[in-house]
Amino acid sequence: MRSLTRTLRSDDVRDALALAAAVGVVGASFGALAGTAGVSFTLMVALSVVVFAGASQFLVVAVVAAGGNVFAAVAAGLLMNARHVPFGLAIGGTIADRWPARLLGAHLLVDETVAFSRARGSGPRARAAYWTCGILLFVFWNTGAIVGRFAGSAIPDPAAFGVDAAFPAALLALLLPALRKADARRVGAAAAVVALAATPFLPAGVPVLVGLLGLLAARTVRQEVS
Amino acid sequence: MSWSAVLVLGVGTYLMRLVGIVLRDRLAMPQRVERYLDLGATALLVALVATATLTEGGGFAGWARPAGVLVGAVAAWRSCWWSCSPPRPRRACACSGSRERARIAHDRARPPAPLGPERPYTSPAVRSADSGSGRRSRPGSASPRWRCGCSRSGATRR
Repeated sequence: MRSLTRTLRSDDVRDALALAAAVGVVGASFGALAGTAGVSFTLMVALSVVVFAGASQFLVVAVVAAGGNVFAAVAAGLLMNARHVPFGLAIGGTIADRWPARLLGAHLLVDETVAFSRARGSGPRARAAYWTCGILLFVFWNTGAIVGRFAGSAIPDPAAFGVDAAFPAALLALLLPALRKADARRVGAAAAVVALAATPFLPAGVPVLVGLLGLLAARTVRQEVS
Repeated sequence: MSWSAVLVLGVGTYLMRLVGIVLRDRLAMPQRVERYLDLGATALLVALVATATLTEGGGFAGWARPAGVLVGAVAAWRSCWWSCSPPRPRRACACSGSRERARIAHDRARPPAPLGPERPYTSPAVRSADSGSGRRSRPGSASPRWRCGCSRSGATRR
């Protein structure tokens, strides 16, 4: 931990705080949604702390609110979170060297921490960024959920804040350094096309996984180069 | 909504997070595979951005959100580009292009001369008076080893 605080840069902390603040607003809208869906307070907090994966939480609570089958919702949520496996493969070396820290850091693995850390390479700076971003997101997300639960209907739809646009924009901004490489750009473009084409036909979350087919574009690039 | 559902979702999600990290630790990855893992994360994140930007519940999300994302992305791209590759101040010189070409042609034509002790600058008039004795090609001589095609001194703006 001590080495982490030493490698921590103030601009990274500032960026992580901005991201976490936006996450807190989304957490508040999640808390409000859980309140109207009739999920009890302790259950909502448990869901938020134990799962800590925004999109699947929204999915489960929305299905419950609509009176759907809870087990189908859980299965859909798990399917949506399956993208964490390739994320863990990509970023596993960055998180920590020792197992206790890895077990703890695994829980902080969400889309934003992966993008935030990868935008800072794979060295000590990326590790410090991962932990800073993860801890701040965890705190803001759960605090936001509790605040939203108590504020209830005073919290409007996230679309009214423009937060629904802020998230893709923030992720895209974090991706820009990775997209400076030509093969990454080609893979990304292919992934976006495939995922968008698959969206009308597949359940939520699966089109993102289908986006992995974009890796086929990397292969052709490699053969061209070598 | 029950505790069992929360636990199943939470434990399942945590295990999926852990599986990737454990695999990364246990398997020796050749560099080629590591590149694919890295690109795979990029592919997933871009797919996530694309679907979150353009779709809502299986259909088109409307124009407001993509417009907002576009504005944010352009702002981020400009700040990223500016800090990653700022424009070179050298380009402010009017004849820098031809001087740059002359310098590159010179560097390619001959290996760099070893640096000698510093010498005071001699104006072209003095140099032309001194030339003829092989002084110009001596390493460490203060005469400019390259010139631009234009006649001006180079510091002026057209």
